[in-house]
Amino acid sequence: MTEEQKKQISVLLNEIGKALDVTKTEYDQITTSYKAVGTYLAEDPSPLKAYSPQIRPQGSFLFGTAVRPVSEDADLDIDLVCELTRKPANWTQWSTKNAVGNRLKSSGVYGPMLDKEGKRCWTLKYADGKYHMDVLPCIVNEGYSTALERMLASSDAVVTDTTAIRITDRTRPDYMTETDSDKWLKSNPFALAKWFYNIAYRPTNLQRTIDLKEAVAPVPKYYETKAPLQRVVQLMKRHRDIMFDGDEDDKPISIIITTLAARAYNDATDLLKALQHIARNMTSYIEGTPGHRVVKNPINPSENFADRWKPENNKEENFYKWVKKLQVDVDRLIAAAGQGLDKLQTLFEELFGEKVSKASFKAYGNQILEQRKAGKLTAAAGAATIGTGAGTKVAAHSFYGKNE
Amino acid sequence: MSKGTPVPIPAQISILAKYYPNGVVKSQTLRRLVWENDIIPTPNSTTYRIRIDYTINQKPNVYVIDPSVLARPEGKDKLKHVYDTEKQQLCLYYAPFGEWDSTMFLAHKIVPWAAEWLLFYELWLITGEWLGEGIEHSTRTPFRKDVLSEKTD
Repeated sequence: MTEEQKKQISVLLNEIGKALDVTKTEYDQITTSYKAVGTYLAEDPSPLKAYSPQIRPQGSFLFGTAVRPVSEDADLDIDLVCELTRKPANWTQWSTKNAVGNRLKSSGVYGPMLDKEGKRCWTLKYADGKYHMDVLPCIVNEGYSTALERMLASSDAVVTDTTAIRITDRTRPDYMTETDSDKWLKSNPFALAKWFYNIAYRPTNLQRTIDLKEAVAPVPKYYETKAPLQRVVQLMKRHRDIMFDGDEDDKPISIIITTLAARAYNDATDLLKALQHIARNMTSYIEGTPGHRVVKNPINPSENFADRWKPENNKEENFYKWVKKLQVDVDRLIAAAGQGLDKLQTLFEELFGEKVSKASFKAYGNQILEQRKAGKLTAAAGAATIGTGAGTKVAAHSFYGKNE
Repeated sequence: MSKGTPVPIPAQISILAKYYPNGVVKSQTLRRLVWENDIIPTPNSTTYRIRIDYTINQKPNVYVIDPSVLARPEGKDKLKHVYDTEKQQLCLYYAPFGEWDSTMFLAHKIVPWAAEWLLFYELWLITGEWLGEGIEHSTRTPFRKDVLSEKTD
């Protein structure tokens, strides 16, 4: 496989990643929706006003690794936290969860949108917008916002509990009783986001750096360009979604894929090289033995992201099956080099879906046309291969079509 | 057709040979040249063989000779931007715009355009759309720029 072939495949993979992105329009609609929820929870006459509720995205929407669902009919899934400060001393996890839930239920708008109660979240279904939001009620310390800002601005990787959130879990025995939020489940979603962005933007030859305060904000900035690692994670997630078509319970979860991909990342800015390296090496960051696997939360090693892998379910087996298939499929991509764009397209379609694959080739064609118009397109010596390297400039011209 | 002195055939051949050393002169007279070369339009494309049949002060005729039958997208029987689907003769430029005349070198214009035609042909096969723009005059399939520039989400 030549460098030029690898580069072209990476350009096409990047375009697939772009086609998997939430569009700017959808993004604006989503952020407007959750800001409205935030306002409803925070302002008079909301009983929550005293606890300064603040809504922020977490998970893939924050990491820039969200992918649109395979089916056009399926919903986008947005994970949000709803932070409350200064909870009354007698509030349990149950009280906290329901303080948020009751406020939502009492709304003529949000009440009817509520799905059945989740283990840790309330889910709002937006029928028109084709998305739903998982709202995670949680408690934060006084001074949390300042601590968060300081953490995002600092270059060190120290993680402290000042940026931790305390979450409720109705499957826990102390759900109805424990009032000390320091004893509730702990999470640190923004420290995790920082960890991820620091790795994604580690390659020194990236054209852009990232301002963490913009990326990890209540309304994160919309980025059209993404780091190679973000694109690779998107491709891996879509590959999983196609493999586990509709099997929501058994498919490997995104946080495990994202964590292992970041751990295994070799700073390659070429997507195919990065994908190949990650696919080959990601399982070496899983600890433990079969039946007792551990995928550590990088910023909270006591948390195991694979805690739902149990001998009685096939989650562990499915994860390894998926990685195996990913490795085989990356090798097939490499083997398809030089076999014709149509062969590449057939493979892309199988691995990532028809719509995004075709969109990728279309975007590629548009790029070529723009490059020709800008006088940057060349035909290389020998086989006249079109590109932007050394060669004869492709002069302006108009393909002509004749009525036969 | 041309405004200046036409490039003599031997000069055309020497410049073609400089850029495309594997090209083959099939026939040569004082005013006419038949030349063939393999083209790989993009790094991951397969190889196509083209033939240029050129007579000074006439339009260069460019054919895809291998494969002898170019595939079409499903449901389409005619190639895009050709003079003739069966002969696989490519339409590479619009004469009234003066994009080509015999004072120019085939190696600088016609060969890169043929390679670019093949690139957009491959993308047409995949997407069903001709993404290279151009000018089309046909009563059956009128040229519609809005369709060509349509964006997918």
